[in-house]
Amino acid sequence: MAFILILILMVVVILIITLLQKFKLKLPIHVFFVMVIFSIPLISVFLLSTAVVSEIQVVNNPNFIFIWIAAFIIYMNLCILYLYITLGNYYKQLEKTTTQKKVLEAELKYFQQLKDSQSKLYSIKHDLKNQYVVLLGMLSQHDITGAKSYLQDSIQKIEDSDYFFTNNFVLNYFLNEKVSTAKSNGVTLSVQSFLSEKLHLDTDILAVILGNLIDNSLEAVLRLSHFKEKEISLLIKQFDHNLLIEISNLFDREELHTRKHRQTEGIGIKNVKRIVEEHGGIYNQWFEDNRYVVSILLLDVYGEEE
Amino acid sequence: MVIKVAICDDVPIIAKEIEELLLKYDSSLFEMDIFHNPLRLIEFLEENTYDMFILDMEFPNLSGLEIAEAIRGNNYTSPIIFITNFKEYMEKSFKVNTFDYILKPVTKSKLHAALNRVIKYLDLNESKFTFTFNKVFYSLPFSDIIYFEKNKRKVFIHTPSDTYETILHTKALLSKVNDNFVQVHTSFVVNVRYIKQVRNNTVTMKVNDKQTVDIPISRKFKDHAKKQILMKLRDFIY
Repeated sequence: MAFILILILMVVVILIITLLQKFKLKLPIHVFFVMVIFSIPLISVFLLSTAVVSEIQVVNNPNFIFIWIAAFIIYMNLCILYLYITLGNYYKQLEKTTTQKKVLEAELKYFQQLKDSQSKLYSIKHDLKNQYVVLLGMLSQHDITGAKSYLQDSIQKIEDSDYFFTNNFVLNYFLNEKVSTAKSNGVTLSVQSFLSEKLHLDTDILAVILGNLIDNSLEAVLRLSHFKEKEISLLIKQFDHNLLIEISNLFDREELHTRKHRQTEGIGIKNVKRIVEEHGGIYNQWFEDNRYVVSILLLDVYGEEE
Repeated sequence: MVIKVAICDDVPIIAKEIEELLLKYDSSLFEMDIFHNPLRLIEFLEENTYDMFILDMEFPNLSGLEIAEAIRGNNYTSPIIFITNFKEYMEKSFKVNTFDYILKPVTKSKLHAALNRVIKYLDLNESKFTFTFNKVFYSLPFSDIIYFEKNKRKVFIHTPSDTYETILHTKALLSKVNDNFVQVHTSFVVNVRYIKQVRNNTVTMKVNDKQTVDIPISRKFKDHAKKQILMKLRDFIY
C-alpha cells in the first residue's frame, strides 16, 4: 500500500514540476534532479514507517519487506550519488566560468591599457609640433641650456609613459598592475627589466616570486610614515643564462627593534625561499645604508633547449 | 692593460658622444675604433678582435643583431652593449648573449654603470696563480682555473684543457686565490665564473661547451658558499 502511495506522490510531484516549468518557472529545472530530491525524504519516511509498522504485522511475508527496504536504500544511495555528481559538475562549471571571467577581465584591462597608451601617443605626437616650435624659438634666441633641459624633460615624459617591461605578455601585464597598485598607494615602483620571454622557468613561478617581493616591499614602505619619498626599485636582469631579481626599498632601522618578533619572516618570503631553492636558485637579503635589499639569483634559466 | 673597444653607430654624433663618455670614464683605459658602417666592422672582424663592443641596434640596411651574430661567430665572451631606442627589440638580443642594453639617450650614468660591470667582468688585472711542481714553475691565469681539488697533501688544479698538481695547504691556497673563488667543500674551491647550476648537494661547473662536472657541496660550507656565489655573480649582472 505504502509504496503505491509513494509512487503516486512521485508522479504528482513530476506533474507539478512539469506544469510549473511550462507555465511559471522558466528556469531549466531538471525533472530527474527534482524527483531525486523529493524521493529521498519520501522514501526515508516510508522506510521509517514500515520499520515501525512491521511490528504490527501488516505484511504477510516479512522477507518481502527486507527486500523492499534494501531496494529503497540502494535507490536512495544511487540518488545521492547522482546528486553528488551533478553538484560536482556544477562546481566545475562554476569554476571554469569564474576563471574565464578573470581572464576576460585581465584582457579587458590590457586593452584599456593599450587604449590609454594609444591616446597618450596621440597627445605626444600632437605635442611634438608645439615642442619643435618652442625649440626653434629657444635656438634662435641662443638659449642652449634651456633647449637642452626642455628636450630632457620631454624624453623623460616619453619614458614615463612606458608600459613595456618584457616580451612575456603575462609578466608584462603583471608588472604593470603592480606599478599601478604602488602608484595608487603613493609609492613609485621603478622597474628595470631585461629578460627573455623564453626562460625555462614558468611565468607563474616568476609571478609568485615577484608578487611576494613587491608586496612585502610595498608593505614595508607604507609603514614609513615619516619618509616623504616612497620608492621601491626592482631589477630583473638576465645575463649569461642567469637571472638576477633584486628589490630594494627604504627601511627604517628603528624597525629592527620594534618589529623584532617579525625577524622570522612571514609565509610569503618562506614561499619565495622554497621556490628559489627548488629551482636551483640562491636567496639573500641584507641592509645597505638605510635600504633593505633582497637579491635572488636563478641559475641556468636560459639556453638552447632541444 | 688596454681594453680594445669597437663602437658602431651610423650617426656620427652619437658615436662621438660615446667615445667622449669612454674617455671621461678613463682617459687611458680604452683603445677605440669607430665604425659608421656596420659592414666594415664585420669585414674588419675577420682578422681582428675586440675586448668589448658598443653597437647601435638600428641601421638602415641591417640590425645590430646581425653584427652581434657575426661577432659571436668566433668570439663568445667579449661583452656586447647595445644602444637602442626601443626596448621591444630586446628578445632577440639574448641569443647573442648581450651584456647590457642602454636606451637612448646615452647618458654618463647609464654608460658608466655598464662600464663598471664590464671592467669587473673582464677581470683586467689578469692576476695569475703561480706554483711549482717537480721543480718546474707554473703560472696560470685565474680565469683559466675551473676548480681546485684537495687530496691529502696534493692540490689538483683543473682547467678546461689540463689538470695540474702541486702541494699546498688549504689555508695557503685560500689566501693565494682571488675573490672569484669560493670554498664549497673541505677539499673543493671553485671559480664562480664557471658555475652553471647550484643544487642542494652539488654545484655543476662548465668545463667547456659540452662537458660539465659536478662538485659536492658540504653542509658546513653550503649557506656561506651559496651567498658568496650570489654576491659575486650579482656583480657581473647588476
